[in-house]
Amino acid sequence: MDGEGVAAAPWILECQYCNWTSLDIGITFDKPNNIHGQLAKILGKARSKVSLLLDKLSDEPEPTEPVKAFRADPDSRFATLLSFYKSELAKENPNDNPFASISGANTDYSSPSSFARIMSLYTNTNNYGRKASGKSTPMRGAVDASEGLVLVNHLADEKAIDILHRTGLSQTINTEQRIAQPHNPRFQNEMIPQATLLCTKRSRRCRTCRHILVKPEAKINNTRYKIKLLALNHIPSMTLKPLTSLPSTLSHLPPNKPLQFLLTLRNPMFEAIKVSLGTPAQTPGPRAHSVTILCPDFTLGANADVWDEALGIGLSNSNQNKRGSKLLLKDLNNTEESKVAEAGKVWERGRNWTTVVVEVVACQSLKGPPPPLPRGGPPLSFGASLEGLLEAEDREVTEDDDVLEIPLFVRLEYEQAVTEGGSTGLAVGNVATTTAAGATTSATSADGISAAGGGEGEGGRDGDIGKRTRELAYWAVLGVGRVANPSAKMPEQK
Amino acid sequence: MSSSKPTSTSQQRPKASALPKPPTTLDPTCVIADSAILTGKYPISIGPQTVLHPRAMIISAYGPVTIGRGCIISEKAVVGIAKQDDSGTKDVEMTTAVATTSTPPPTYEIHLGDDVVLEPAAVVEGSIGLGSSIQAGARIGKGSVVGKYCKITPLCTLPPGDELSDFSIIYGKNQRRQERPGLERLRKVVHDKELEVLRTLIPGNLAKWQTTAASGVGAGGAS
Amino acid sequence: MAPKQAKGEYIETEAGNKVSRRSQIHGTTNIILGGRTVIQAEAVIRGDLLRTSTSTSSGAQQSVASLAVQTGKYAILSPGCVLHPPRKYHRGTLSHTTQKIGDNVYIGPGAIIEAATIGSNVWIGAGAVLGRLSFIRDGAKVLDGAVVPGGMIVNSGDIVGGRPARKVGETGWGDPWDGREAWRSI
Repeated sequence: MDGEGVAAAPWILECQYCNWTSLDIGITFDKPNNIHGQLAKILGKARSKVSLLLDKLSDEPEPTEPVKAFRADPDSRFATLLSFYKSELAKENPNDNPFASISGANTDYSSPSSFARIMSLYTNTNNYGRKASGKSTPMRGAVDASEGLVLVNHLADEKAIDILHRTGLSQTINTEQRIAQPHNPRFQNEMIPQATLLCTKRSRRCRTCRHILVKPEAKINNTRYKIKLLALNHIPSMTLKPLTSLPSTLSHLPPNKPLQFLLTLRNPMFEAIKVSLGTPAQTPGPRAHSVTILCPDFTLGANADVWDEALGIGLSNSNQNKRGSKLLLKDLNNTEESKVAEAGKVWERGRNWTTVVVEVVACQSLKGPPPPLPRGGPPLSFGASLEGLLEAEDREVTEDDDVLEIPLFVRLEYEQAVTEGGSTGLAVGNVATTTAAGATTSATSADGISAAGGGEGEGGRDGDIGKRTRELAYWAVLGVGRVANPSAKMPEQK
Repeated sequence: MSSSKPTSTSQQRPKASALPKPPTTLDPTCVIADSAILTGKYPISIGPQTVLHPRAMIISAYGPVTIGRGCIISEKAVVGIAKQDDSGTKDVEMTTAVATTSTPPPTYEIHLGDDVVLEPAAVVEGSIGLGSSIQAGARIGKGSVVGKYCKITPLCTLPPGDELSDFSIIYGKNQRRQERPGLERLRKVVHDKELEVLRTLIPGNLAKWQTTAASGVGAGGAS
Repeated sequence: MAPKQAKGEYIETEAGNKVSRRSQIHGTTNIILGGRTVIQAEAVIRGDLLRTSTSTSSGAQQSVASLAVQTGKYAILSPGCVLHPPRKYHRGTLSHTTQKIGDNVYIGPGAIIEAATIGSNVWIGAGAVLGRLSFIRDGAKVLDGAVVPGGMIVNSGDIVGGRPARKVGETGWGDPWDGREAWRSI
């Protein structure tokens, strides 16, 4: 909502989008700044012209004249109501009603005096407490406009209908606009420009231990954070990249063809992590795309410094890996062309990251129930429950049905040195977000299958080193892109 | 270099030289950027003080195009119908299509009034009245008529054959319309200033497109 | 500008800017690319729309060589986007102000940008239209097809969408979209 002036006063407000101007409601400004103040003054003047008392006497309010319409201002009505009820509360006798609040303030039911009073209610079996009550008068409600009560004016409705007949539907405003206006107007010439709310910066604390998690900088313009402890920074970050095709085709993935993606997990922690990935063989949702992770179990090196790497510390060798998968330390100088995706083999690994290949066959047909899965047990058992939920659904085609998203179950196992303060404050991860080059992102929290291995295992080494094996498991969603629909046309790019 | 020559080689439009050059009537005060494109077989007429930004495109394949005084056509804006079917896809290969149809397609004359502003990527296939503003990415369907001093906000569309009365505004999702009388005089002052500024900023290349009646020009892109 | 390989799609400058041969850049002397930016095919940058000083300076009417468009590091301009410095009508004169784009900015395909300032870590979706003199502050996200009207200020960390664009959410505290990864992969 900008201001625009003609060399000098008068100034008007003009919307740069829909060309609404304040002339529509008959308001001009004297100077280009302090719009809010000038507006309040103009509207206030309009309101004080006809006070609330006159409301009772006058026939009906005139909604056509915008100036008078501002009278029905919820703020002032609320203020009068509030002051009326406060005065009513002050009149109350605390002896009549032990629960009445004294002086209209919030009753502190736990204060000694009120506590004593309330207890006396229940402990007094004799007539002592009841004599004093006598006839108690209930609090009365607001009666007229001076006390904040504004009756529904039926004639106002008729007047509005009359105007509607004359000016037509085009002069009314729709629900969205009406909600945004505080005084609930009906016609377009009753709308007032609203000041945009200012933003605030908030700090967050942990729910249980009250430790500060997020604290923004005190300076207004600075968008950084003094303290930023994110759970995301303690779990491997994931990125998804297509193996061969260009990013521009991610929104038009060819169906029924095996597509290969590189899933890279990058480890921010200073310990090596054993990762185990799982995904249902068919994605839940309207379309059942089949997903295979070629190497679901691998290790992630620790995020050690470069010096440490040179000295050989932190890199996980195949010696440490006791799992059944066949991992080979790839030569970092390998060019990509010579690599072929093999099941069970890591695509590439680096100091603190590992890349594996995920193969997706996008399915194009949707609608109807998803193909029934063998109940006995698909390769990864946690997929079955999701399918069961969706099988009975018979859904219509919605806009985002062609989005290809892969639910991923990540299980991490690592060893952590026990410090004096205990664990490093890691919450059992339930939320993860992933990004893919040029594709959509989404986050999901753990469903019924919560962090399976979330508890800490006390197993591990002996007391000498004091290491503790920790397990973390969570669901994540990889957003890949959209499946191409051959009947739809390709969007043109000029 | 302060000229508007792009650094890229002209590979992006291999068909540019293959497009037919239309007969044009260009007012000497109008500014046509070097990389603007005028094409088609019907005549194109451009009024005084009009500015065509680089990459603006005027297609007169299906009817003559007349542009009034003081219009501004921004980059990637398209005036004219590119393909004569209802699918609405843009295809610059229309010359052969016209030649092979047995029945001559109806001609759609497109007329832009004075002081019309087309923002980048606007697509206009209908006529626009005086003083109207078609903002970024908007599409005006074939054969539609927009009134005077209208405003079509970005990405809105006007269906083919539709008519928009004067002073109306299309905004929001899927065309809501709102009538407003106006501050045309003030807006015109700003518009004239803009024309002035654009004329100094954009070097024109009239000779490239100038034709006398019914005589084609040889190889274009002289500079 | 020495091309890395022979006749690649992109010309890579010393600062690491990758400019597609099929992009349409006008007024290259008035554009500053912050280094390691990517300008993809058919992107249009109007560096020729400069601020003009109408006050005559010693009789020379040549526009003061000022900046038209300035980008930060790791900015990605997708195919078909348009950077158009905004017109500003101020005290009776109309001129184009400099368009400043921050670091780590992704501008989606077909977006039309006439904003005055785009902060850092901003993600602009495909086909979005940023109106004249709008301000997109740091960390904001403009969804696909959003129309940000002229003059609108998108606050830091807001997600805006729709026509006209309204706030629909907030970006979290997680790491923003990584321009460096994108630059590397192109």
